[in-house]
Amino acid sequence: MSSRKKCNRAVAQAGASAKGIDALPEGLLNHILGFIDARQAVQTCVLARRWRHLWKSATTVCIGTTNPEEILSFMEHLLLLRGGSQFDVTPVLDSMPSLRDAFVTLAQKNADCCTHADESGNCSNVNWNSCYDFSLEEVEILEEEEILEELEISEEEAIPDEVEILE
Amino acid sequence: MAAPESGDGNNGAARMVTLISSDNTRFEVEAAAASLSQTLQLTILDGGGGGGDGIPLPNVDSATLSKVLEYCIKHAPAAANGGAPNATAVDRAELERFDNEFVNIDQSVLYSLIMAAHNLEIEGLQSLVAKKVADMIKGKSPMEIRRTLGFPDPTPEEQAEMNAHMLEYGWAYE
Repeated sequence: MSSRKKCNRAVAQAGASAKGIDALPEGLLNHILGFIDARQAVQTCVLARRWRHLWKSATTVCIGTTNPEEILSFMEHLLLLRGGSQFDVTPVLDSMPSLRDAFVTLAQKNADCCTHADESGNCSNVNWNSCYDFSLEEVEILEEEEILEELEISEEEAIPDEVEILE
Repeated sequence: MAAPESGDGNNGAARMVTLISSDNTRFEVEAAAASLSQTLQLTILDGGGGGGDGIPLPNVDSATLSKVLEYCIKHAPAAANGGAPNATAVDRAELERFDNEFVNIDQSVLYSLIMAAHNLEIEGLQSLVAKKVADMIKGKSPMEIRRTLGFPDPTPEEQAEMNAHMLEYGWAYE
């Protein structure tokens, strides 16, 4: 799947009217956002209309902490905010064992999670996207604060062929 | 300097190719350097770009192309060694020093460069510039990012929208 991460968007659309960083196609902007701590990537959504949802479709997410609890809470927020847009979490998890552990914890909270997992919840599958479907179906948001009340991780049948970005 | 094995058996002098920028400037460069571009590599392997022909690059102007080639020439020896497993620490440090200085340029040039790297499929260069732009954003407030990237100051309407978004994504601003 990683080979598919190339920018799909049409290139060379840098017309004379667009200027500066805004002239870049979305794929390149996402490449840039991939190097930025995810919290800050979210902040870029206030730059312009075009940037509003950009961070949600980034194929790489950079997380600036190694504390499992923080990561877990962070991922809950992130997954919630990204809503239906799917992304490949495998590279993120591979690069950060503590995040992987956090996901195992998250999975263990859920009765029916990963079919590859052994009794202790360790998963031997290399592609985490095939274990977990990160669509959040039964998420309830408290009215005042945006706190994730429930995170449901449901089993997914097949690996999506393309990373699908839902609006 | 050892000729790369893909050099069509052209022993001795390295094979040269000609690239033509959008404003019709011709650049003669070693095939090994131009081949850092995945796009050009295919053409060059097919024997293109030699003699008086030249490979036209209608999307890249001469100023940008000369900068792109500066990068390619510097990185070609390491790339030819397959990521330079036998490169010394000194070589690597020198490349790093070069890279840091290389992207220490005007923003507008950075954007032209990353577009060219994208079009020509020069992965290392694209990542180098993307990282540089990311570094310009890191640690700044949204307003500072706006100014750094040259977005105009928000209109009152946009400011209201920004505030609404900051409320919505409050956790990201904690």
